[in-house]
Amino acid sequence: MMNKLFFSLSIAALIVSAPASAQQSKGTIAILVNALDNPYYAAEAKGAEIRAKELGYETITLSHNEDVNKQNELVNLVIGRGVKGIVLDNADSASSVATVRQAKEKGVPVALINREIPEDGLAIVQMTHNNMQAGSEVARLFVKEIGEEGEYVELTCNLADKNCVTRSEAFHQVLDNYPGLKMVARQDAKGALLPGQQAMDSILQEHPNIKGVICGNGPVALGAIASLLSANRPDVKVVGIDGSNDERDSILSDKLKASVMLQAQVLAIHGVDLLDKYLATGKTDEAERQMTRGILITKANAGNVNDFYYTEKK
Amino acid sequence: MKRLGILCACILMVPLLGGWKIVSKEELVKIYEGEKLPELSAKTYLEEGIRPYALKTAHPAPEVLKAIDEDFDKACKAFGFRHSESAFPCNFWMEIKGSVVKLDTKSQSGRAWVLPEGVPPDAADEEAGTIILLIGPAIDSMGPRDGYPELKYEQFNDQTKFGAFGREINRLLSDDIRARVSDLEKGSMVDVIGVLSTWDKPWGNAEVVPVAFK
Repeated sequence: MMNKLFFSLSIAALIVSAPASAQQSKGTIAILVNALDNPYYAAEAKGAEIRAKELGYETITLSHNEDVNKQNELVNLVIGRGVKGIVLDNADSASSVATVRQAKEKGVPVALINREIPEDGLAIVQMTHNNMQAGSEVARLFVKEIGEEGEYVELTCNLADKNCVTRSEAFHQVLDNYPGLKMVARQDAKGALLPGQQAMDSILQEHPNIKGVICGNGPVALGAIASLLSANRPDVKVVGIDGSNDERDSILSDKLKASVMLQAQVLAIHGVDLLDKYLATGKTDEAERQMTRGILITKANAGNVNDFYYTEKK
Repeated sequence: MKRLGILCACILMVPLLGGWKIVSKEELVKIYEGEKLPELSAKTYLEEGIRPYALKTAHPAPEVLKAIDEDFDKACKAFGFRHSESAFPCNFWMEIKGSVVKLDTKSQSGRAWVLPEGVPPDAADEEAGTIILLIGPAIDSMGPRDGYPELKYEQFNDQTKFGAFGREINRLLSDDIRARVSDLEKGSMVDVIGVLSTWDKPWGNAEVVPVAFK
């Protein structure tokens, strides 16, 4: 009798303590982002994965490397595998309209994060960063750092990305109000560290009197800093946008002056939440287009940054 | 003739019933020339929307700043406006009455430090307790745009256009402000309505964009 009781209790305990993954899954959510070796996109993917699993989904994470054709192949692949929904940071705004439409027509809802598409009613949500606000805030700080007169350089991130264009517009919305500030060079550094470093190497030779460099994203800013340090020019002030851990560390060691942290994880988490709600109810009850602020990061608050997540430390 | 009249009436009725519209010659020309739909006017929004709203909703600055100091979120609900907590700062409309204790008109980001009535001056620090009016020509705040509930990002759905619209509002404001502060000097009395746009309790003095002068 005792053995039977013990056996029954053991089985009951096993069922109660079974991990979530062993219980019935809600299906799979696909997470498609750009290059996963870029910390921003890795943070997006991480945020989406963790949240999806918390909600009871399995996940599949893939990278399209900003290649529209590859993106389309991956979308078709995951739809073919029966995913319930897709969280997508798309490869190109205009070209992705057809991709998202196709997914919708096949009954697979898409939550867009970071990059919008220029058409409403296809994705269940389009979540972006307030790049205009991010660019304006860092540009205002840039003016405080270098003053209202002098030469500066702009290194953009990939201008094929509308977000990068918006950030550059935001910079000039502020900087062009100061006639004493002269932009002596502007170059598209493709959003990556090495091109940023190489661009800075060559610009510095031609314009040795620059006071500052304003950069469209974090890797470019870090590349500019690498160049300036090797040229023994720590006097040149550099700012960027992204807010990676590397930028945080650079700010804390007085190399990078400031950045704006884009809330990659918050965006991805909310995208998954809305996907979950849509799958359960057929609607999100929220506006399709949503923005999330960037957070200005200086030495005073850099310690609050980790993996594109900001936590106010008391 | 009667049959012809009926026929003509039928021909006319079909398009009208089908939701078609008979256009004038002038309208037809506009359609062929591809005239754009009327665009939003920054001037109209400023004069007929933002300014009247500011005059109606502003509270005395000391009252607003005290509330912010005690609890920012509560103060935002009581005295401020924000389109969304995730994307926009809180915008506080306030009335600043006081005297100018310091002036910077040389910088592109001109400033006037105003000591509100009832706030005692600090002999050691002339900026202590003051509110800074941003008098341009460069106005580095989107408070005038973001502080008006009837002007929303959804009307543009394009960050660049939304930014440009805010910039145009600021340009119009800057022209107006510069005309009004040309005689301003240390000791001048001012009574202005303006907006403080901030994510959190301001570090240092509150910076306000003047929108209306009393």
